[in-house]
Amino acid sequence: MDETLIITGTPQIYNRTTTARMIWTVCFWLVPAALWGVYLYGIGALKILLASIVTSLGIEGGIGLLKKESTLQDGSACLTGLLIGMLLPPTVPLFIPILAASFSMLVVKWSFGGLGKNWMNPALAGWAFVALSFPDQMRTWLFPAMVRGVDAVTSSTPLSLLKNKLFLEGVKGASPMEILAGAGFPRSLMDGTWTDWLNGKILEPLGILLPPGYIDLFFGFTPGAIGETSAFLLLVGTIALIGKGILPWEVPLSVFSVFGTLVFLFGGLPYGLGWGAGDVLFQFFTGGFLLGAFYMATDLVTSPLTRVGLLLYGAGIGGVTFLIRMYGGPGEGIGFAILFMNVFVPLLNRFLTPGRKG
Amino acid sequence: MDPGVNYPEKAAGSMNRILRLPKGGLSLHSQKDFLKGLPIRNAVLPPLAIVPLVQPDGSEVACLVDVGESVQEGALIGKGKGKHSLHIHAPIPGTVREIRKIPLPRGIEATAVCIELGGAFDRLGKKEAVYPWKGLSHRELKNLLIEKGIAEGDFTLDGPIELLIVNGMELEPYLCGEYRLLLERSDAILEGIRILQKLLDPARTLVVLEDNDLQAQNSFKSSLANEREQGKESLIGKEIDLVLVEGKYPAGDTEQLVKLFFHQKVKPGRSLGEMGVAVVNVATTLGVFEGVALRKPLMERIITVSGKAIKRPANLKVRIGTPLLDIVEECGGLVQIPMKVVCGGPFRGFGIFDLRTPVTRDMSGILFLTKDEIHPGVRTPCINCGKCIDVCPEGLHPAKLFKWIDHGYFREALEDSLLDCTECGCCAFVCPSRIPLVQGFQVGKFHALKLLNAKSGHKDQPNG
Repeated sequence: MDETLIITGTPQIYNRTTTARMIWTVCFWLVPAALWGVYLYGIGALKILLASIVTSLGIEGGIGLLKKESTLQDGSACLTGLLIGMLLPPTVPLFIPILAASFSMLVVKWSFGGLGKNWMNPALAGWAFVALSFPDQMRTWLFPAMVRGVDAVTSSTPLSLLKNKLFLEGVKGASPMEILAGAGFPRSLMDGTWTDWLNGKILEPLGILLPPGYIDLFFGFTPGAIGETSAFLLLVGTIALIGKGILPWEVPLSVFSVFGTLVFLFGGLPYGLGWGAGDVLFQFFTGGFLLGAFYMATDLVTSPLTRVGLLLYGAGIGGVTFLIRMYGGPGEGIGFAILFMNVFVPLLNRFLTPGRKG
Repeated sequence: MDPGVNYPEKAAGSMNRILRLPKGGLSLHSQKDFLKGLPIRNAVLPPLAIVPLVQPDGSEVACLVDVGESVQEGALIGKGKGKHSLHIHAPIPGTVREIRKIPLPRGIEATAVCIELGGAFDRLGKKEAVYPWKGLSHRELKNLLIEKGIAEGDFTLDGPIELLIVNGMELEPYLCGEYRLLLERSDAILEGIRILQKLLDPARTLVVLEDNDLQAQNSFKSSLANEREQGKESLIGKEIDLVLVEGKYPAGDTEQLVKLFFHQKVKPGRSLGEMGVAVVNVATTLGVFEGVALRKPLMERIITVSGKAIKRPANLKVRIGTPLLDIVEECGGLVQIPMKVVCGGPFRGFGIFDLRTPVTRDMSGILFLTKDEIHPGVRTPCINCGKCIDVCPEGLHPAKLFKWIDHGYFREALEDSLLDCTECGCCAFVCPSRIPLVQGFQVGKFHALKLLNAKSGHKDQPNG
C-alpha cells in the first residue's frame, strides 16, 4: 500500500469547492430559467440556446487542442454559451448567437488568456457586440404562446414600449402598468386570477393592493430575452447559489438597494408622478434586471475581490442602470452598466485589497 | 506600544468575553465532537521502538548507546550538544538492536535508535512517587526540565518574563489531545503551570481555552477551585487568568495568540524569549509536571488517530518511537486504503509514505485521510474570487503575493508583507482553483530572505 500514498505540500486537505464545481452549479441553476424560456417562446429559443452553447464549447475545445490542454471540464465555456443564449431575443437568426459566442470566447476571453484573465464579462460583451451590430434583429420580440394564443411578433418589451410612450408620445400622469394597459399590452389569464387571489387572501387585510400585470412579469409571461423574463426561476436559482456561498451576496444586495432607492425617489418624475412615486417592483422585474444583477454582475472574475469593493461595484451598477433606464436610449440598461463597472474593477481592487497601493 | 498595558481583564470578568481573531480564519469542526468524546487510551507497547535522535529544531543529538546494549525504561540515550538542547530517553526497556538513519515526516533524515522490548519496567504499573518541587531553585528546575527532555524549542527557560500563555486551544481540526488532557488531567496541568510560574516568573499568566469547550473550561475551573480550597495557591503567589478564544483555525497558533494577548507581531529571527513571552501548550505543561514532580522523562505523547480510513479513531497515549503500523493495528486496522497518511494536523502536518515511521515527540495526530476528506483537485487558473483574502488571518492578499512570487518579483512580495505569512494554509484550503499558495510562499520567502541578506539595494530583475 506504500505506493498508493500521496505526498503533497501543506495543507493536506482542501475545501470541497473547486472552480469547476462552482461554475457547473451556476449552470445547473440557470437551466430551469432557460428551459422556461423555451416553453414560453417555442423551439426557436432552444435552437438559439444550443447554437451559442455549441459555438462556445467548440471554440473552447479548439483552443484546448491548440494548447494541448483541455479546459472544457471547468464549465466556463458552457456557462458563457448558456448566458449568451439567455440574453438574446427568441427571434434572432442563428448567426447572431454564433457571432456573439465567437466574439465573447475569442476576443473577450481567450485573447486575454482564458478563464480568470478577462476583464469584462464575456457573455455580456458578446451580447453587447451583437446588440450594437444588429439593432433591428435584437429588438424583435415574441409574446409567449399562452398570452395571445398565436405566436405574435412584437417590437417592444414592456420597457421599450414605455420609453416610446414617454418620450415619443409624451404620455404623462400614469404609472408604468397603466400606460401598458392603455397601450393594449396583453396579459395572461393567469395574471388576473392570481392577482385577485393574492389581493383577496393576503394583501387586502394588510391594506395593500397589487395592480394587475405583475404576476405576468414575475413568471415571465411577457416579451423579452429567452432567459431573462422569469423572475421566479431566477430568484430560486439565486437563493440556492447564495446559500451555497457560490455567488457573493454583496453584489445583488447593493445593486438592488441603490437601484431600488433611486427608482423609488426619482422614478416617478418622467411619468409626471412626482417625487417618491417610482414603481420599484416594475423596474426589478423587467429588462433582464434580475438576470444581470444575479448572474452577470456576480461573475467572480470581473468583480472586485473584497467586500467593500463588491458593495461599491454593485452600487455603481445600480446607479448606472438607473441613469440609462431613465435618460438613456436602450431600455434595459443593466448590461451596459455591468460592462461599465467591469472597467473599474482593477481600480477598486487596487485601493481596497491589502498590500501596497502604488 | 507598551505590551504591559493591554491585557484582557481579570479572570472573573474575562470568562464572559470571547476574544476573536481580528481577521480571517476558518470554522471547521469535522469529526471533532465524536473525537472529543473519546477518552485517552493507553496504547499497547511497541515490540520495537524507533527513537529518532533529533531536536525539535532538527539538529542531531549525540548517541549514548551502542548496538547490543540493554537499556532501562527512561534511560538517557541521547544528549544534545548545545546549552538548551534536550535529552532523549528510551521510551521502553529492552535491547538496542540497531542504530540507523530513518526519514522523518518533516522530510529530514535522522539517526534513530531501535530498541527491542524486553526486561523489566521501572515505572509502568508502579505507583508514582511525588517529589516536592517548591523548594527547588530556579537552576535546579531548569536542569530538571532539560534533563527530562521536556522544554520545547522555542520556549525560554529563563525568567522573569512579561507573559506566560498556556495554550489550551487545539491547533488544528481533527486534533483533540489538548482537550482530552484538560478534561482528564487538569490538576496535573495546573500544577505544571505553577511550576512554570516559579521557573519563568511571569508578570501575568493566561490560560487560553476554546470558547465552545465548556467541559474543558469547567474541569480547569474546578481544579483552580480545589487548589484554592487546599490553600496551595498562595505558595507561588501568582494569579492565573482564564481567557476564551473563539474556536477558529488558526487562533491556537503561537503567532495569533501573541498578537491577541501581547499585541506584538512575532517577527522572523526574534525569539519569543527575547520578546518576554512564553507560549506553552497543555501537553508540555503536563510534561513539566511529570518531569519535575514525578521525575519522569518525556517518553509518551498524546495523539489523535483519525480519518475516514481508520476503523476505530482514538485518542491514544503512545510511547515515542512506536511505529505507525502498530498504531494502525491498535485502532482496528484500515477500512479502506487512505489517500494520504498525515503526521500532525491536516493543515500543517506532513504526509508520509512509510508506515514504519515512528511517533516523534512533536506529533499531535495521525490522520488516515481518504479522498472525500481531502477533496483533491487539479490546479486551474485564479478566478479572482477573493476567498483567500477573506480567510487570511494576517490580512494579506495571498493571490497577489503568489502572482508576485510566480513571476519572480520577490522584492514586491516583501513590500506586500510576505514575511507576515505564517503558512497556516487557510488560503490554500479555500482556494477553489487549488493553487499551491503555501508552497509558493515558502519558495518566495526563501528567495526574499536571500535578497534581504544580500542587501543589494537596487531593484532586482525578475528571473522567473
